[in-house]
Amino acid sequence: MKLPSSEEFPIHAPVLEISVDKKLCEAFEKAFQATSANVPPTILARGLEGIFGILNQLEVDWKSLFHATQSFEYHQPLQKGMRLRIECSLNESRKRGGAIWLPFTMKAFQGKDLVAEGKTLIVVGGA
Amino acid sequence: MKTDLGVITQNHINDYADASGDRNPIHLNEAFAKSAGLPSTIAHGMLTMGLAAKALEESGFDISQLKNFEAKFKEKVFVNERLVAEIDLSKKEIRILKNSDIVVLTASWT
Repeated sequence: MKLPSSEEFPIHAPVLEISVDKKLCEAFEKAFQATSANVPPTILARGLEGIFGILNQLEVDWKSLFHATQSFEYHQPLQKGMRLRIECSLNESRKRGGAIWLPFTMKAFQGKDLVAEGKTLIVVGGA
Repeated sequence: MKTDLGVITQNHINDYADASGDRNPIHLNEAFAKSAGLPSTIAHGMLTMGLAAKALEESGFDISQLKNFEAKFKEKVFVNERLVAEIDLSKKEIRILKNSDIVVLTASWT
């Protein structure tokens, strides 16, 4: 794994555009075996694709990677028809007990409005 | 409140990979998963978090009104394991268990 030096942070993923359309909602509902009039709140997982790019850039061993925690904060309800611009970043890395902790942040905008934010902790290596 | 989330099949995992774009072979390729020392492929943590949200909605909560939703992924979910959600509406906490007694996810919401 290529651990960045402190000067290399923050590492930004390319901006991702997501259309919260019927097709995407139905794809998630199929996976959850659910039907709902609401947008699945974890549909923002689609925005985590930016994190994958950073992880590949760091040459992490995907076999030793663990998605430890995930949180979302919703500033407004997710609605069908939203077109979201997703910005993902890695601001630091931390060594803890033989593992590397990689805390990512995600921001989802519609136009200038911050619709939602996410925090993702990926742990690489360790037990 | 308990909700049976059913058995997580490889089809569920494949569907989630299609929806999320997360195609890490540890979720999709049995040989890759075994080369990593696992007995089988594993479900995405985000699949279980999505199932927690589904269970929350089915409990009567309007998920469009979520302000915060956070989860800790405690254990891997292997293909063909059965999941159950336990929801405590007063504490606003969810646990997902596999095989009836192993906690794979804890979550909370506001």
